[in-house]
Amino acid sequence: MKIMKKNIKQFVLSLIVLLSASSLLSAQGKYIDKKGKITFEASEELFEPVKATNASVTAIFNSETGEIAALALMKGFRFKNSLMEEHFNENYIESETYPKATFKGKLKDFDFSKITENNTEVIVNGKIELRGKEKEVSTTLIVKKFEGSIIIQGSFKVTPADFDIEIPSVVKNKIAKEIIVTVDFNLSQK
Amino acid sequence: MKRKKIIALLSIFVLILVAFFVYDYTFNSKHRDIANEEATVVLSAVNLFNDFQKDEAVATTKYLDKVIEIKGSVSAIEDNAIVLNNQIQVGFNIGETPKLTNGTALTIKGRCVGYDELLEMVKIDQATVINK
Repeated sequence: MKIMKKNIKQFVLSLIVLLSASSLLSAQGKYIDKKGKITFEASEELFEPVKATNASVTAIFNSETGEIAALALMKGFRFKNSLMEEHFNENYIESETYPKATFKGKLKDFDFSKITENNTEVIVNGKIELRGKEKEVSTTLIVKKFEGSIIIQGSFKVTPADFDIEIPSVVKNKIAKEIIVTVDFNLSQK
Repeated sequence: MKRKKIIALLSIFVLILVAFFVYDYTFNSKHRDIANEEATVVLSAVNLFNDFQKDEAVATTKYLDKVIEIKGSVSAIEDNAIVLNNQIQVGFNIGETPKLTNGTALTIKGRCVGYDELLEMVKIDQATVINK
């Protein structure tokens, strides 16, 4: 009986050690940004700029696997013009029904040991989900280290049709056919 | 003859005025002033978080874009933001972050932006501290 008790105690102890070790391992290489920036611009010359920024995007990056995930809440995109913001949310994005946009992807052949304080170009492949639609994207990102954190920047293009967004003919010439999306993440270790 | 002239001038004047207001409304209409809006819902950080955990779609229709008053305990302090009960991330306008310490009981008012499943937190922005 006593031996069994001791065995159980040992077993529990080693389990705790194992669990804490594995959680440490998985926590390693995990970088997070809670105040990431995503800007999109669909401006046409001569018309009022169609541009909005979300400065509270969440991004999580695993420096060991190169996997990256980001999430932007649609209501967090702020326009200079409040009426434009209203139209964006109500007519185009329908943010009550689709409150967020997500990106899940992987940096190609990512090797953390090769990242320095200088810009390194890395290809990312992934999927954007927005308005219940998925779209594959691939672009070149710039990755660098900065004071213990990782900076990831880049841009890519999407079209309203990618996400089944219809632009009414009245405003068709005021909104660019291609929308430029710029990302700027400053990820620190968790 | 004179009367006609006056009417013509007046109508031109009115037209210009209307055009100005339409222009102003379209291009310069003000953003919401969350700090001066009355909160439509008052609840605790725990209850707000639980509502989103239970059914995100229902909670989204209920709370999204609404001004909410939330009571909780400060669990983390970030730049321009605090976290309540590890469940609600509260963003303040730049330069308006109050000085707080962890564990402080706090009531804030802000706009609900939605649920962030990566952080597992409900997000609030344009918040102000309510002193009670």
